[in-house]
Amino acid sequence: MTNIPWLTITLVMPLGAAILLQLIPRNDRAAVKALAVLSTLATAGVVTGLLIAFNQHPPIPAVGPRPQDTALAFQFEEIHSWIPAIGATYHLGLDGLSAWLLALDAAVFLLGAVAISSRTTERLKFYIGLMLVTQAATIGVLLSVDMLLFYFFWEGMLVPLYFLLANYGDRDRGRATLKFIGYTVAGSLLMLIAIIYLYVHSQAAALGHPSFDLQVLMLAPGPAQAPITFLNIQLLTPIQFAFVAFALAFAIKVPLVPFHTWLPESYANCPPATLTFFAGIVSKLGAFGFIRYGLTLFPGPVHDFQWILEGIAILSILYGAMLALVQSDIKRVVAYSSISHLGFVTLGIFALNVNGINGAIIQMVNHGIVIAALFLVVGYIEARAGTRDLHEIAGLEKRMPWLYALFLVITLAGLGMPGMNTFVGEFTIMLGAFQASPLLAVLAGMGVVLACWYMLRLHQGLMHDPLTPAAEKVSDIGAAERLVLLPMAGLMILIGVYPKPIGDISKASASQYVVRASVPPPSLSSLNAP
Amino acid sequence: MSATLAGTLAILLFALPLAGCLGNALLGERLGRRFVNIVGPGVVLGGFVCAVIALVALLGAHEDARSTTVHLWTWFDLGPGALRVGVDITLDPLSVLMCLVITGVGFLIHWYAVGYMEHDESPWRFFSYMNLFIFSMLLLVLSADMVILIIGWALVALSSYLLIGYYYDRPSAVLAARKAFVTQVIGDVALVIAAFMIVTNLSVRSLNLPTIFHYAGASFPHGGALVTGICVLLAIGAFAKSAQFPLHTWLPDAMEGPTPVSALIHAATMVTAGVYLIARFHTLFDLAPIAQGLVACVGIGTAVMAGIIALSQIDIKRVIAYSTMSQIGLMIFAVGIGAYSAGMFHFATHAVFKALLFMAAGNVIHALHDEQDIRLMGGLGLTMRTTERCFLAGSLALAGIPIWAGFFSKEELLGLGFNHGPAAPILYFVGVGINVLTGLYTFRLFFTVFRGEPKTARTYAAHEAPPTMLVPVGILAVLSTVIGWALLFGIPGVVGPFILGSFLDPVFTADGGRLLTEPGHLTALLTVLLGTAGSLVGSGLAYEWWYQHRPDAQVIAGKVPRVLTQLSLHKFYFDEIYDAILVRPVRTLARRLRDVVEPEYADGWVEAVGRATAWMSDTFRVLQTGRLRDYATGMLVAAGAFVVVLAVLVR
Repeated sequence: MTNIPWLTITLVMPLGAAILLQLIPRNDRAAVKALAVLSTLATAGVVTGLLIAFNQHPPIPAVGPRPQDTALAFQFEEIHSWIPAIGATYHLGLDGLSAWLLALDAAVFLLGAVAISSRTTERLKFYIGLMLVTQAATIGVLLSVDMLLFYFFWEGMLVPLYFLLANYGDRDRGRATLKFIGYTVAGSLLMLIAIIYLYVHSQAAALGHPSFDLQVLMLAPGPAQAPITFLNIQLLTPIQFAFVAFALAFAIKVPLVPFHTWLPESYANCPPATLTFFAGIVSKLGAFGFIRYGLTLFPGPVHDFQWILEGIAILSILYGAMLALVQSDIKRVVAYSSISHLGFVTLGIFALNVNGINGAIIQMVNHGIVIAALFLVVGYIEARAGTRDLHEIAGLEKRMPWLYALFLVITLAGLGMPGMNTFVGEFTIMLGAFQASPLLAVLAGMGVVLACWYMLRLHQGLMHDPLTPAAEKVSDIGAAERLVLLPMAGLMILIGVYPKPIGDISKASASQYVVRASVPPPSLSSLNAP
Repeated sequence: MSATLAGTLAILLFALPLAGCLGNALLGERLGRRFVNIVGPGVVLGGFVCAVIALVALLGAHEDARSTTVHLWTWFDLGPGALRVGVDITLDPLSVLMCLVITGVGFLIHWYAVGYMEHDESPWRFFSYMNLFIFSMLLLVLSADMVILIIGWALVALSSYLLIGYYYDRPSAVLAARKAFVTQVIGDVALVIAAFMIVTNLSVRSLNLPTIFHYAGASFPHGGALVTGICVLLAIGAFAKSAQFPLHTWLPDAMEGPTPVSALIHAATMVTAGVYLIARFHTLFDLAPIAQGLVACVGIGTAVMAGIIALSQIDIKRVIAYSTMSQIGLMIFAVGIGAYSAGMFHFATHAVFKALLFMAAGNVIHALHDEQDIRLMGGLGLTMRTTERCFLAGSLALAGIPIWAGFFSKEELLGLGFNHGPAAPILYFVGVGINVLTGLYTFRLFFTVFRGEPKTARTYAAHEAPPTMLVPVGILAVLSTVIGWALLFGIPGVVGPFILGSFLDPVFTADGGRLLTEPGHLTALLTVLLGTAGSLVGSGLAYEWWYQHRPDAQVIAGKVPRVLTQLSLHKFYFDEIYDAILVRPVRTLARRLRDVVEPEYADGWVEAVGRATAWMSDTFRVLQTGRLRDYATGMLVAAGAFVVVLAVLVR
């Protein structure tokens, strides 16, 4: 069992399905959809197996005497030579961080495959193909330990996404897609430069064994360098510049305010099926990057910029919440709520303690489930009422009792109701933030109150009050749609009632990232000494 | 009590209402009204039986061995030094008393609701929410871990939200529900931050309540800023839930819910959760005298304010709602001065007589086909004799007339206020004033509704409520009459005197707590006499003004300073103030962000980059002429320039 390359199998399965897809004739839409569901189901099966087999107390590879001299404990590792000339390897691994995100990935793509309407989507086969390739790329991002490999998947993800966003969706999708792609590519290119800097500069390269492996770059960083000066003004040190480049790439992907403006436009123009995975997993990869690469490669700069980043996180929480409060487009309400919630995740990460990072990992998963479900609900309503304007729809509870009940559960999860999954994450994140600075928790608490306000405004606005003309003709969701939403609502309650399993896996790695991030940063005075 | 018994009882107490909630929600519509009518109240009755068994087991145990904490399962565990939460439950006199009231009074209200909701189109939805409420409340009072307590606390708010907005096609109900929920969340956040402060500063990192109380004395210096801060935050949570100033404005609006909801949630149980919270955290409050003083002042202040507002309200349910706010103010005052047992005593009697008043009012509203304006009532005593008598029993209890329940509990807590609390005995005299106010508004309501001439034809057509709605009311009327002296003087052969105090006090003396010294016999007698005199004066004046009309109440109202009547009529303008300083600024700011900051700044520079690119390509496009000779010229010029630059640089 141990020598079966399970991670490669997980990675390749969606690609294999995409190739198989080419054998199916384009107009056999039922078969195309069946293949999509089967493929994502199979991936979900393998991922479930990985989670069950996951060792919650992995041996932590020590490489030196100090407590921080430990490599990250990856499981199911696979290392093969890839481009020997430059020391790039095909290195895959799974840890407590990526394990849950992998599970989320499998879940939201399965959801997307089930939710896609095979009757109304034009060019279904092309869509499914792109979706499967996107899944492979996101899995690659989560599993790769080699940074060149990571970058390959990170950028590769944009290719199928571009075609998905540009070809399927509402009228303004062209403009929205351009903004999204332009924005993310700009961030990624900065990150590439920083990766090359780390690679060239590391001790491994100095010793003649250059490597792109995260474990190597993290444990054998280059010697500290003095700040770059420009016109006699001291700027940042090179490592700080590299961190800023990484942080920009991730902040755009999350997105954090003020790098968020691609999001409302892209989300508003996206069909719900795409949003399940686009909002469900892709945006989480930015936060994933912050933990996996930000905390490990840049312990010094992380501390230098901790308060700026925490400030940006708080800004995102409050700004997103305020804007969600005054949108009339229901899709944009959800889009801005997403910005606010991801602010919470970022807040947890840069609290730089066990509670904060565990909370961030847990909240990424929770948010993925909730946001996917919210976009589906909003999509169902739009498809039936023919409008997305909150002021034109009201009183749906009478027309849609099923959707009402499920939407209620999802709304409660969206506002962080104690007893629901998101409360676990929010509570843990806020505790972590409180330990970093009590003020952060108080400000985040204001975000919680605002979240309650805008989520109820959305739910009550759509469901309650006397029926409007647009809502008159609406019918309740059918069995297929219930089949999609019921498991998600169930999961939100289940995690809320018994969150222990999810914490058991995340804590295996969260403490390791905390240790990595707490490596004392080299002080500038030590640089000046001979 | 053995751990096994305690665990079993707790699980039953959770499982029964939860099963009722799910059963009604999932099967209710299919199986019909009869199923719902049996399951809805049935599970609560089952819970009451469990609570009684727990009570018997507790009374059988030795006084010092009446607190059992059981670990059911681990909820969340991030390892040593990080967050750890267990589903732990505590059965002790305090939680068992709460359980008894929640399930006992709760059962009677559920029973009553079977009749009240007879013509409702979806009773399964109603009873599902009601059962959810009972579950949440039990989770709140039984929990021995602060995180689980917060979950129960929030679920209580959720079920309240669902029930306030039960008539969801009424915009006023929808708004009231949202207002209540948002206010509750403010309280939740305060509670969460209090939990953070406790867990990060306690010498043992834990949110387990017995652990917190055990180490509180060693971790927090008496009167220190830290413990004061924690207690103020806890108090804010309690104020939100118990509708105390400044977080009280949601309660009157919550009367949009069906009347049984008002009785169960917004009178008997949920709104007293704040009192429970402070009593439960008495170990911390005992360490923070400043916070205690604040709590006492807020309690008595709210009691006065709500009493004044109740005098001018015209909606029968709102009058009772403000009276609830006022009475809870007294309970909050009691726990604020450290008279925990007295506060819980008043909680128990109040739950009985206030549920009674709401349900009797419900009978009136039902008989008048949803009329709630008391100016259109009057003379209902003629047609609704039983309801009138029950309402009278409740009024006597509420006004604090001797031998009825409210008299005993209210005089006990006020009497303790004579010697204790901030600025004693000033707050005691304020309390006597509250007694006058209470007598006034209570009997104003009674006389206006039941006596005098019928005002509309509907009053003549009114008929007495059906037995399902009368029997529970009758039981509560009897209880309102006897429960006070039964608990204080005992019932020969069944319970001894001062049973409640001796039952509860050990809870409050654990972990180094001390009881308040009882006032001397003479002081006690005088305070009781004065307090009772206040009640009698208030009630008597109400009799003169609203029954005998000599002079008529209108004449009296004309003599009161206009400021006071306006304040009372407009509920001290709190809704307007909050709208002006909170709701509107937030909304205006949000609109500004949406209309100005987002398009012009956040997105502005992104668009600018796009425009710059477009401009550059437009500019350089001119060079792409497609003519060979232009390109050749360009190359020649560039090569020349290159040579020149090179020459300059090399030299």
